Amino acid sequence: MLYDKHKAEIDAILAKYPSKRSALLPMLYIAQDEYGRLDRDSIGEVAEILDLPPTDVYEVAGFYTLFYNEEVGKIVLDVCDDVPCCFCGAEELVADLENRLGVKAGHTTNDKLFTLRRVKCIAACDQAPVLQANLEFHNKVTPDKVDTLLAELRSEIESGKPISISGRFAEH
Amino acid sequence: MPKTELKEYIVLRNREIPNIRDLDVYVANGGYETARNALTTMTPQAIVDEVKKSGLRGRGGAGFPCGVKWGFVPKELNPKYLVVNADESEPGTFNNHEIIDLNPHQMIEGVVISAFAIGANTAYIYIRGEFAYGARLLEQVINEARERGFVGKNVFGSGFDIDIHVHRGAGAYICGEETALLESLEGKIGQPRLKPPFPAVAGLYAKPTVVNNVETLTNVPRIIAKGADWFRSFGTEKSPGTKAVSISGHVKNPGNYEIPLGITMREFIYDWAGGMRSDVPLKFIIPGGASSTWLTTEHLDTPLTWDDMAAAGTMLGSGAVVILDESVSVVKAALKIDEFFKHESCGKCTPCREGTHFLVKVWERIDEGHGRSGDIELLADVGTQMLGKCFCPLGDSAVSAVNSAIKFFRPEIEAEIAGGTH
Amino acid sequence: MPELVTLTIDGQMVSVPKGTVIVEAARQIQNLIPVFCYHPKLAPVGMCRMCVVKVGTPKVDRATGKPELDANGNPAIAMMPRLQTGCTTPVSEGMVVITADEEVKHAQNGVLEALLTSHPLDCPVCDKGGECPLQNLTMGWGPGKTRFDYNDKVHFEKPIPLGDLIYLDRERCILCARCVRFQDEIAGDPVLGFDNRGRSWQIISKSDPVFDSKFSGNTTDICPVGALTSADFRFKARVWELQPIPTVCNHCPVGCNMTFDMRSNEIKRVMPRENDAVNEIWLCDRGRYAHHFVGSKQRLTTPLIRKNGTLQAATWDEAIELVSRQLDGIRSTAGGKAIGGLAGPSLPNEDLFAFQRFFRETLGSNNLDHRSGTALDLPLDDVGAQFGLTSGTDLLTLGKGTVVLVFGADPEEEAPVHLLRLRGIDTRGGTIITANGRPTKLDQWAKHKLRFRYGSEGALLAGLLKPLVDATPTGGNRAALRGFGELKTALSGITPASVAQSAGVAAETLTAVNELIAGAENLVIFYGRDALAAGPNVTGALANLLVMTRKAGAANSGLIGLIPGANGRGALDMGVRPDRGPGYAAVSQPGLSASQMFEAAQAGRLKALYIAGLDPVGADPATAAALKKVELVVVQELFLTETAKLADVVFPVLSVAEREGTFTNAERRVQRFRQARRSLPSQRPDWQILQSLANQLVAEPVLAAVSGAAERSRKQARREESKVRSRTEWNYASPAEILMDVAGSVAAYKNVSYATLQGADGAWGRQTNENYYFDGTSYENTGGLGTQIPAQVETSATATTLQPFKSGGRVEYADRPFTLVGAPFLYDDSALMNDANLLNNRRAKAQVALHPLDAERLGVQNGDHVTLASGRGTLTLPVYRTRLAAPGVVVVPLGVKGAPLTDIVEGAWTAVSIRRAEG
Ligand SMILES: Cc1cc2nc3c(=O)[nH]c(=O)nc-3n(C[C@H](O)[C@H](O)[C@H](O)COP(=O)(O)O)c2cc1C
Ligand code: SF4
Ligand code: FES
Repeated sequence: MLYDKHKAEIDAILAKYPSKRSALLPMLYIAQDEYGRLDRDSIGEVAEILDLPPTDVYEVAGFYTLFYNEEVGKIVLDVCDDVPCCFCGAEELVADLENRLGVKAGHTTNDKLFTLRRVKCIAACDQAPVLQANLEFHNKVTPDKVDTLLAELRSEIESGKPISISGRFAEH
Repeated sequence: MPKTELKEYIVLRNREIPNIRDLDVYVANGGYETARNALTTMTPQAIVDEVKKSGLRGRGGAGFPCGVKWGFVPKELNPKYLVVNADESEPGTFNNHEIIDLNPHQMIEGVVISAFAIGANTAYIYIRGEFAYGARLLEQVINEARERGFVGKNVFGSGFDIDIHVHRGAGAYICGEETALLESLEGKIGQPRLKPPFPAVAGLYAKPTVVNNVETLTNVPRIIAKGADWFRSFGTEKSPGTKAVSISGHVKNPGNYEIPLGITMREFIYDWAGGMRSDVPLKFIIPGGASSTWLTTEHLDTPLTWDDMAAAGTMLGSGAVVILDESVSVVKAALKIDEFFKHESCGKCTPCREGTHFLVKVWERIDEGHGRSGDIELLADVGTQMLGKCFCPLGDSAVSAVNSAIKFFRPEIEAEIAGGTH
Repeated sequence: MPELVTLTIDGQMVSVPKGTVIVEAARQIQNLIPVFCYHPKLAPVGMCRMCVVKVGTPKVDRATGKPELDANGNPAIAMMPRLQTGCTTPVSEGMVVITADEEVKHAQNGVLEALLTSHPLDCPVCDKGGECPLQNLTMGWGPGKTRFDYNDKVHFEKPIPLGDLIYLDRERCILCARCVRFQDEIAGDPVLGFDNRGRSWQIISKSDPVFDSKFSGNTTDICPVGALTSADFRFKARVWELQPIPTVCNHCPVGCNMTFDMRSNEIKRVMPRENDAVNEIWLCDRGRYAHHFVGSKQRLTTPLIRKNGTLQAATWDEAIELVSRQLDGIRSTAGGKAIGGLAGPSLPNEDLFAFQRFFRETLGSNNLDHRSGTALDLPLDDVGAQFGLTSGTDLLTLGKGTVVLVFGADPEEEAPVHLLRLRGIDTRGGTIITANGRPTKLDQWAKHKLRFRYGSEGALLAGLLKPLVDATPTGGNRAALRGFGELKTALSGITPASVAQSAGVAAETLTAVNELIAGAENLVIFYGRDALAAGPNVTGALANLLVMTRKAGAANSGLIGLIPGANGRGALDMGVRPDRGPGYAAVSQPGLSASQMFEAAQAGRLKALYIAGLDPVGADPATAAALKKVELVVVQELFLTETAKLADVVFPVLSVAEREGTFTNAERRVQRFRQARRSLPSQRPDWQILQSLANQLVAEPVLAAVSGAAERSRKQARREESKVRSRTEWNYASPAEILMDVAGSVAAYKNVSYATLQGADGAWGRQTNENYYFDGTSYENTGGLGTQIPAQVETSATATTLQPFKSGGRVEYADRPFTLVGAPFLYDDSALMNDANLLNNRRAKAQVALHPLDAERLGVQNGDHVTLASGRGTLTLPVYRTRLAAPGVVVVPLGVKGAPLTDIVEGAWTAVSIRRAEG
């Protein structure tokens, strides 16, 4: 299923490496987009495509922070709260988002649209407070900009254009 | 205005040439000519020699001479690989980010020349998972270059083949460590490998592999184009060239600056980055990424070179200067930094895996007002039990904040412990 | 001789082979560097950092290249700035190592304290307590107190099952990855891994079924803490109460050394006993967890005699009296030839020897066999004794230069620990070649796989022999080979192409394998059930490979036959067969084989059947008819088997745990097991029953000898009587004395005695005082390492004798296009698996394995029923799609309830048609 649906992309990925296993990270991104998370079935499918023991695939899915084994919202909001961001407005931004979304960081809104997470440095410290929405950067998200940002993201979801929690279509 | 002028940009040429990220613009400004010349008129050894002569040091953190590293690759073992380290995850660092987004072709040209120099026909760019756009952009850039025959089979009719692939990580700081990076590129969890063997001998798929940082390779086309001597006209004897340095925190103009190596920290902060953002005075500097030992106002005259920073007890590291003012609690800062290392500890070795947790727990209780007398000694002692005993440098890095905080701000921590509710 | 390197550890000089790591070098001089992640059987990883030491190397003057000297003229040493891990740092000439100064101690204290920060310290309820490296190291190297807040510990749900056999307690886990590495590096079942990272790192197993490995029990041994414990032993006992009794596993021909760990007459657990020549420190899960048959409530506890049609409890005197009287009657009326004897291949040598002696001497019958007499019986294997692995060969030392051909065998199922040993040979640089009609797990490590079509084994072997024959120069060499001419003739016209054609093996692969075999320094050939079933032509050809490559009798070479049962080789050595006596001695008048006995019984020519340790009726219900025909059926058994149910007299016997004895394994190593458990007074060892009967029956020849005494004086008659009596009377006090008789009658066992088998002081075993990291892994072998007996080629001039061989193709049946094979599976329904409830979910199921392509073609899904039809009968079973069947080959497990293969099989392989079963 996964393979049939994304044959061209998967074949292109496999062609990049002398070893099938190397395709694991990109394959997991595709599976995660397809199924919304990496559960037993999606992991099993990836394992089968790459001829890997399922345990090895689980291991990898568990190690990296951009793979989700729990269901996440349509858009994952990753706010950097690391040094220096935490001293440059990140805490305020997290609090603000928690307020507006009605969930604590680490959780998904009831309408399943947003998952809010605190993350470590995302290499945009000069843009603090900064966040990524489905791995697209949004710089200098001061409190006055939060509303507009959320509205924009909502309309993006509504627009029906393809969404990738794995950041496969990130534009900035 | 800076006292010292940068005569010319070497890596952040996007600051000089608008839209240099477009292939046409890049080519119009001499792009890929250097690669053509190198591949058609120079021997690989001549390139290695020129880079050696330039004294270019690795920009990824360790500052190891690039040409020397290339020289370690055994000639007779094939295939060889060049891997670009674009994992840029050290807190405070974002200069690779800018190169990838705004001057990518120069990096790709660097890859082509460097791959030719070491005899690699395949290069992988390992880019951190969060640079989702960067990864897409690089793929597009490589395709454009491939279409023009700058990348791919028989480039420039030289008979040399070079395939370049982008490989996106998935969120793990440790994958910046070169052997963990290779594991990750092989589809495994990103845990560092035992060394030796070193990647130069047995790296990716157990084949000879050179891992270089984005900025390191972005220097290469300019060095080959203009010569080692020209390159050495920037910077100092032992730290030649420029460095793209990221500055963030409580400065007026945070961002990347390409500086000639050797200017002082004071000049950098006050003349280049506009000084402090408010009247609140500078408290301390994290000068080379979260891994580095802190500096305070008394170190402002330290020149930004590998050796001078080492002499000051810290490091130039990845070129990431974080400026924190008096509003910042030392305990909080140390806690945040150690939380980072705890979060990123891969789990492989005991001192790092358990030690970071231990440190965080103690910082946390001090921060929450439950500090105990003896906690400072405890932190310091656990630090010694970690420092130099971990599998890779990540664990050691977690001790920098501990030692810095205690060394420079012991009274503040003591006061926090004493003032706590216990 | 490997190059030696001399270094100084804590002031003591030691010389070790180049490449040795510091920890190992220190072991040589009893210097204990504490370790957690390091294990001598696994590749070093340097993860736990417990083994850190101070290391220095001699300074060298850059200019002169000469060593620098210090003020006293000694070599100046440059100490490394950081501590080094002793488990990963190789020694170098002149190295100086300090293992115990303040700095090192401080670091070790740190690691231990750190490990304990997440440890629950629940030693009082931990199965590992008492043999726990974490406890040991904490005592020896720990800081004595912790500065970590107990409340800051990370908590996990207490033990979670990893499959049926193993429990994982994540709180106790110290993340050394020994278990994961064992599964990857040794077992080759990568079913364990780690989830998350950093301090949340935890062991997971996501295979289906969970922890899908036949070797999982070993992880509980090498786990240096109580994180992995076995469901079998959990909360059963404290290890210090246990008394380990040395034993040998009786489940398969590997003969793993192990201990029954006893408390108050109960086997609490099974542990491996280190024997590098047999099982290193490993066991398979059947050996470890299928010991429950011993303590089974279903064991027979008293002799039974059929009275009024039902079996009823009787006294021993009654039963012995009855049997001897009846046998006596049959012997005197119909002769010994009217009596048949079957004694199973898992009985010890002593009992098998006694059994054949009883038949040959007392009853005067050669009707002897150790097989069941069903269509599944294998031909008798003689080449395994003639050309067997040369004595002194230790598979653990084989690697580079060794070529192993594994022909018609599935070591994982037939002899599991051999799989690990084969994999080890591969890891050490040896070459594995598999030749099979269907895929096996070992294929993964095979350099070449020769996938032949069942029935074309002869053709394939012709292809392997041909180049060796062609390459033998005319003249001296050829002349020296007996049977060369015949072999050459048999191979005429064979070409790689013709072999490819008939066996279905690619010509290039064949050529590559030919080159490997021809160039092998050591050549070891394993063969298993499929090869044995194909007959002596095939096994003989395997022996010919050795003869033609001059490896017959050569060091580190030879055949290893995986004959079913723990003592299949012993049964052959002891002569429990119709055609040869002990030591393969020819008999003048061969008796009946098992299947001939059943025929004879049906025909009324056989009056009595004596069966020990075999269940022919269980194996093939059709044999019941034969049993019903004979006058007397006597059975010696642990359980009331299907056969025992039909007996006239049933004797309850002792299990391997209740007596002493020896087994001879596939490598012809004779190994001794001890009594671990008291038996009931009403159970007796097999040999003792035979001895009682023999002595009762002695009266008969004695009387015969004395009859006609009228002409002689009474004195003379008494003298003659006592002479006959002393010749025929049995007076074995123990199996040890039977083994002395074996040594007297079987040449290869000449030097085998309980005393020589004891000899534990070989090169094996551990250094003293090493339990700090071996604790709980395996116990020092105090029970003896056994004796590998010589193959016949080593003691006779047969190394140049070729076995008769003919190449042949396979017969095809157009209407029966599929090949059915009955395959052995480790977890079957044999009596030794009784009460092994933990293994129930892993037992082979009564189903037919079909390759997905075939299933596709037949349009059947998992669970659909199909009917297989051969020339003899039909068999209907549910389908199981798997790549473990080759296309065109269907596999049904042997020895599994509900899969009566004997209804349908016709030989080594059976041509069948398959159709969907309706309804
Ligand atoms: C924990 C850790 C993280 C690292 N992260 C990075 C990184 O993100 N980018 C990078 O270029 N080098 C990183 N390094 C350094 C690399 O291991 C390696 O030295 C570097 O890629 C070599 O390239 P260079 O010689 O061009 O600097 C890291 C090292 C460690 C120990
Ligand atoms: S391999 Fe065979 S002999 Fe060894 S433990 Fe397993 S069943 Fe027993
Ligand atoms: S690091 Fe050497 S024993 Fe674990």
